[in-house]
Amino acid sequence: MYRWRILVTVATVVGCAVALGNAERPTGVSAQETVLTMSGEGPRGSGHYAFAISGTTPKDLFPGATRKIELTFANPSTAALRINRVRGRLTATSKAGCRPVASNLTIKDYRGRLPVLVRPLSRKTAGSLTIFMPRSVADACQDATFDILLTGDATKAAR
Amino acid sequence: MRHRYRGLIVAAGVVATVAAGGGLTAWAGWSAGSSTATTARSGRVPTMEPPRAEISGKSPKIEWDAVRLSADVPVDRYVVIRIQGSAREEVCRTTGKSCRDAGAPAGGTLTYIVHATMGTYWIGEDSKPSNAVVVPGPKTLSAQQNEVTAVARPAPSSKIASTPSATASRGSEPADDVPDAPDPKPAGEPAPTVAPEPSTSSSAAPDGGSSASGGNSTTQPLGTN
Repeated sequence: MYRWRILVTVATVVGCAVALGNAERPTGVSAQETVLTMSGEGPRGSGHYAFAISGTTPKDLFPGATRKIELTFANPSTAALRINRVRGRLTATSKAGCRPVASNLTIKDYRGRLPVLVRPLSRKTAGSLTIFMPRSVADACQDATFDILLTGDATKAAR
Repeated sequence: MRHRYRGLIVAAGVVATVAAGGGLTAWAGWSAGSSTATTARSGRVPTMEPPRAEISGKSPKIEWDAVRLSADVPVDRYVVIRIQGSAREEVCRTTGKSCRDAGAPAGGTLTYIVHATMGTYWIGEDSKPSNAVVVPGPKTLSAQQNEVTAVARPAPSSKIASTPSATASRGSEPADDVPDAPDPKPAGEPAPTVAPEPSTSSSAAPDGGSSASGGNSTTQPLGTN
């Protein structure tokens, strides 16, 4: 009888500990940055983790101009993350005659070291995306806002 | 028995601590993705102040103030457009801050507007018109033949088809071919007193008669002004 009681107690404590270990905690990531998705399932269970990428917002682009979007990665989960890939894609503009195409704004590859290791519950600024406005940019793209989607893939870093 | 129970509780606590630290969660292999939107903003070519026009020699000289997209980014070019009545014709496209309208029709009252360009397609808004100037004498083509700037970019023919002066400016040559324009004065004769009329200038008042018909000033007799 005592043995059963002991086993139940131990199982309960372990269960609570696992639940705590999986819980996500806030990291102070601002609302603007938290468009994130992610879930992962491993062979021994499932979890729900996330990370965020935020970028600076270049201004005063003009034909022939090159600018950088400096990137910051935020890791709100309790496991260290390894960011393996980062990309940017032009998705929309604010002007009707200004199409979101490379001849109006070109997003170049990530510049910086990969992978980027982000510790649990922390942020890290690393790398950048270069954007270039070709001289062929349409007249309608004057005084326009360009929406750029930043995407990244990460895995849990080995402990 | 009690002692044994206590030992197990301690063991459970240790396991719990390890688990809370992530040891158990580390078993799960997973990957994550993130997508976030950011923005970039473009500037615009600034609108220019009205240029200043004056008669210099026998043709109008137009000057303007340079503009920049930002402190360290000048615009690429300036485009100067002659306005005569309702007719518009590009007369200069330059990186400088002034140009001469060698193809200006003699006798016409003219104003000029200017805009800046950047890259292949970015065009700034037109400035307001300059002061008006009156080109002296009907026969200034000989004085114009060496002026290349105004010849470089003729406006579409629809705009200038009936403008002999524009026709003359389109061709790179010279204007010795002006026999049909009766010229009662020798070429070298000093220009008449057609001073730039600075006082009347602030208005961009259209040049009534000649402009409406396309401004054929070189074929008009002297003194039509």
